[in-house]
Amino acid sequence: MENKTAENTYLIDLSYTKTPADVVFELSSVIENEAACNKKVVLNLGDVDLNQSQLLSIKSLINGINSSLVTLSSVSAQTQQAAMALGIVIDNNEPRPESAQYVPMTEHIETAVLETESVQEDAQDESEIAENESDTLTEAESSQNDVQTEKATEYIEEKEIEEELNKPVEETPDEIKSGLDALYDNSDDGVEPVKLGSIFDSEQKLEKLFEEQEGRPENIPADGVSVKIEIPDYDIPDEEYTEEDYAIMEMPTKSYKQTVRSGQVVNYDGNVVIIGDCHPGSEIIASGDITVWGVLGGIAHAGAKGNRKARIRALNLNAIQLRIAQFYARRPDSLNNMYAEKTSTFTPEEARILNDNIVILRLNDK
Amino acid sequence: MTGRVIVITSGKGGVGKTTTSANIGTALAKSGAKVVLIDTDIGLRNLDLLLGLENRIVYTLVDVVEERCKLKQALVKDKKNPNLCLLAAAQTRDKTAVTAEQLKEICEELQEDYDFILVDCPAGIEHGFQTAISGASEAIVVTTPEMSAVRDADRIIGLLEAKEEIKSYKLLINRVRPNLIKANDMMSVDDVVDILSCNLIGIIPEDTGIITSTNRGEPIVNDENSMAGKAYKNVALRIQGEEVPFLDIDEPHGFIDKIKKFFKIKAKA
Repeated sequence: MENKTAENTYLIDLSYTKTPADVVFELSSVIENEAACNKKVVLNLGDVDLNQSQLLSIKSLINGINSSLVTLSSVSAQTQQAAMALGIVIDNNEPRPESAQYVPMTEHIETAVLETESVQEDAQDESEIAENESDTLTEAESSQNDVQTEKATEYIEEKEIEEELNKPVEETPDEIKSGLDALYDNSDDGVEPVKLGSIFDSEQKLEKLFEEQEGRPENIPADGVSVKIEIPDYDIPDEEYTEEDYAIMEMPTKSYKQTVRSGQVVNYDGNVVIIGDCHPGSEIIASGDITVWGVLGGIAHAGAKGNRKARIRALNLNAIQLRIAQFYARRPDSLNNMYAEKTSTFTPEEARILNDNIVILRLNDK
Repeated sequence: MTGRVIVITSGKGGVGKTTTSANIGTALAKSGAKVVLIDTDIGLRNLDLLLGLENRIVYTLVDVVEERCKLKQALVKDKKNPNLCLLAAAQTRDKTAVTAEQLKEICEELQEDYDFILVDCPAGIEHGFQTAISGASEAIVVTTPEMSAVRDADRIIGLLEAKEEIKSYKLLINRVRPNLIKANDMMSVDDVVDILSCNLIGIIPEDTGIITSTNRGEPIVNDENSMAGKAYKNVALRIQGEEVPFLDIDEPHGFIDKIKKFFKIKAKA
C-alpha cells in the first residue's frame, strides 16, 4: 500500500487488490491515517470491477473523513463507467504495465516485430560501418557495440508493442468488427432459452437448406466414403486460410446450454455450440462449425450448405455419423456399443476434411 | 416375383415385436430368401440397434416418402447377410410423417424384388398401427403369456380380422417360462391359444441371451446354442411353408436330468 502525499492531494494505490471487498477493507485502514483527512483523494483501483453503488459507498467513506474523491484511475471498463456516472474524473496516466489489456489483432504485433527486425539490421549495418571506418576498434568493443544495439532494438520492440497495446479499441479492423457485430446481434436470440421443440418448426428451413445445395439426396453417397482415422493434431500441416474459412468465421453462432436428446434436432444456418451432451439419435445440422462441450453421440452435419472447411469438435467425439459438406463417415462397427460412454477423462477431438476424407484429430497431444 | 408382406404386431409394447422382426428376418435371409425389414416405429426406432446398423443409416423411410432419395438408396444392407436389408424409421419425426397409402406404395415397390417384406409395427392401435398394416397381407401377432398382453393381442386380432387385406394371421408366444407354467404361476401356451382361438406359428422361450444380443446388435439366431435362436429359426421355416414340430422347451424333468442340471450349475459357479 503506497500512500503518496502531494500538495493538497492524497494518492491511495489499491491497484494490487483483486476484489471489491479487498478495496473496502484496505480503504478503511487507510482512512484511519490522519494524513488522509481534508485532502483531494486520488484512487488507483487497478482492474477491480466496481459497480456504481459500490463506488458510491467508497466515495461516502472518503467523504466521511472530510476528504473528497476527485480522481480515479482504473483499467476496468465497469469501474470507469460507474465513475463517470458519479462525476468522478478518470485519469489513467499510470496504467500498470502488467495488467491485461485488449490486443486488437495479433498481426499488429507481428508487423511490429518485423519492423524492429529491419531496424536491427540497420543498426548492425551502422556498427559494421563504424568498424570499417576505424579498424582500431577492438573485438571486445565491437561486441559491446552489438550488445548495445541489441538492447536498443529490444527497447524499440517493447515500445512499439506497447503502442499497439495502447491503441484504442475503435481501430479494430473492419473485417473482424463486422464479424463481432454479427455475433453480438445474434447473441440476443441466444439469451432466450431456446426449446428444442420449437426447432421442429424450422425444419422447413432445413429442407430448404438442402434444396439449395441439392445436397442430402444425391451428394451424400449411399455408402460410406470415409472411415474414422485418428491422427495426432501436430501431424497435420497448417493449411492456409481460404475464403471458406473466412466464411465460417463470419457466420453467426448460436449456443444451446442443454442436453440434446434422442429425436431432437438442432438446425441452424451458422455455427452451433452445444454446452452439454448430444445423445445418440439426436441430430445437429449447421452450415458452419459444430462445437460440443460434452459427449457427441448423435449425428453431426457441419458445413451443411457445402462448406468443406467446416469442422466438428467435441470433448468426446463418439458420433454415430459425422457429416461435413457432402462427406460422411460412420463410427467403426467395433466401437458400436450401445452404452453411452461416461468417462471422467476427455480427449478433445476435431473432425475435418483432409484429402477428401473425414479425419479426426486429437487436440490434446502436445 | 411377388414378395409376401408380413406385419409383426402386438398392441402391447415390450412383448418383443422388434426382436421377433430382427430374428425372423435374419433367419429368412440366412435360408437364402431376399428380405427387407421395414421399421415403422417412427420417432422410437430400435430395429437398427438390434441389427447393429445404426451407424449406416443415411436415409430413412421418411426421406423416401418425402422424395429426398430413391427407395433403393434408403435400404441399408446387413453387415453379414447381403440378402437382408433394412429400411429404417426416422428418429427425429413422428408417426404422422408417413401415411398408410405411402407405405402401401413402398411395399408394392419392394414386392417386385424381394421375397419377404417384414413390417415392424409400433405399439398401440393408432395411426402408426394403421399405417403399418396397410401394405400387409399376412400378420404375426406377438404376445406373452400374461393377461394384459393377451387382452391386447385379442384386440389386435379383432382389428386385423376387420381388415380385408389381411388374409391370414398367426400367433407367436414370446418369453415363455416353462418352470413358471409348471408351478401354475404363468398361463400355459394352450391357455393362450384357447383364449385367442388363433393358429400358432411359434413358441419362444425366455432367454437371457436376448439381452446381450440386443446390446451387441447381433440377432440371437446367429447363436447356434441358443434355444430362443432355434425357436426363431423354426418360425422362419414355418413361414416358408415347412412343417416343423414345436420345440420342447420344457425344463429337464427326469431325476437324472435334474442331477445333470445340478452339476451343470455347480460347474459354472
